[in-house]
Amino acid sequence: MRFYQLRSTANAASPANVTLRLKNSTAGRWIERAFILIFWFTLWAIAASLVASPLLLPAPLAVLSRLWELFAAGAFWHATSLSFLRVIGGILLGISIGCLTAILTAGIPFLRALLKPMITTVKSTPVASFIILVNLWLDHGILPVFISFLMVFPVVWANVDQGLRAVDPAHLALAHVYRFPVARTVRRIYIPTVRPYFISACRSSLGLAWKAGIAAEVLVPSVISIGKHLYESKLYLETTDLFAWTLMVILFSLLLEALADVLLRRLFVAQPEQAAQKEVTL
Amino acid sequence: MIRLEQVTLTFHTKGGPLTVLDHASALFPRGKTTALIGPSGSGKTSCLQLIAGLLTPTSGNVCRETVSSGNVAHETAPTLSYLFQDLALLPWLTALQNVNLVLSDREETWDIAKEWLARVDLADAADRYPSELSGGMKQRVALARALSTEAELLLLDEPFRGLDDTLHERMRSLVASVRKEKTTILVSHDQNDLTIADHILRVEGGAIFEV
Repeated sequence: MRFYQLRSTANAASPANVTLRLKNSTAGRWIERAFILIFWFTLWAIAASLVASPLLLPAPLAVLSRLWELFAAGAFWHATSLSFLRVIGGILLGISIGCLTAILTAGIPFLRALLKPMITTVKSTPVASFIILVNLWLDHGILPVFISFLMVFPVVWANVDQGLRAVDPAHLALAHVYRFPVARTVRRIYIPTVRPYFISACRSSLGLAWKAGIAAEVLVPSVISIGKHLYESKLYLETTDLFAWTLMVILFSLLLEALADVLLRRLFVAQPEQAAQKEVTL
Repeated sequence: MIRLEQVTLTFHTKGGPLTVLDHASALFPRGKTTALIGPSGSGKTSCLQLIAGLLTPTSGNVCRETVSSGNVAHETAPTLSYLFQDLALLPWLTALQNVNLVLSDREETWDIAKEWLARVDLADAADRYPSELSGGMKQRVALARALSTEAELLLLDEPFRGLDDTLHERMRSLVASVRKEKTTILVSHDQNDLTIADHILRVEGGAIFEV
């Protein structure tokens, strides 16, 4: 969309003006974001002063100050990096197995029918039930990995399977007639078709995997993790700590999504989106 | 030489079986241009798809050169070039990439692809995606792609659809200049296109007649 705006504006104004407008609009967006952040922090501060009990609702400055203290502590980074690695492990496992399963089910419809009840059950079952149940079977350290995997696998499988079935038969006919090698068919036909489905699956499941992984750590707090610290904050009524760790979880969730965005953009050249953004002028 | 021998083609639709060709036979001489005419839905495109190996006859044989079977034999290099009725352009590739895709999909054949785009008057549109092209421009990209290969067999399904009279005439001349060394089968509804054909076959009522 930005491409079109730039082009259409360029017709009416000098390039210098166009650049200036673009910069202004970017700056405008940052100012808007800052305002929204300040608004909600102010609201939080007002609510905290009205409640007047750090045990029920600590003030934002106290939470930020505690977060700063945590940043300086080695244990904090140890727990955070371990939690992050476990969730990333689960996500990568979910993506890999989800894609492989989708390739199989797209080719073997009976396998799809066979797996569908299991996938539907996984998607409908509360995460807490899985955490409690799987805790009986698996080592505590692996549990968050498995729970994150469970959040990603069904979504990636369903989307990639749908993407593979959406491949245009006319494009496959083209590949057949011109006898494309398998690699060319995959690179030029299958991957570009599946790409939006895969990206959508990643975007919708990554945040979920992160939250579910942390929830698993809270319910089984025997390993060094963010979840364990959250659990202890609750246990010792350290509400400021609870808020600080929660804020940390939110920050890491945003970091994870940004990281995924960068990786996905690097993995797939966004040609169709670029094409869609361009205005057709005939 | 291509032969359809007693070919029957039946599709199984929701409304029951639909027989498009019923024991139809036809001969497409090597190095000649054959035009396929007939009313819409008579089975002209199905004939091309049978020859291309995209459809398997319900009964009968499709014989291409020395290959004779229900399926056309699979070889390593493309022996035919096909302009599809629905064009089959890949929307995520530019016009140039779409043409180059059937050549080698590597930079070494870019010049050939560019040359063919220039021959269909689309040199300036090489970097545009299909969504940025008009219907007639897409048609010419597909035509450039079909003509760019050195395949001996050329299947053209309504190759001049959506072109204005001037372009239609120029593209017809282009096909006429290329077809000389190829076996060409052309589906068209335009009587003027039949002038470049060496002989004409009519597909109607499940049969194929020499006109």
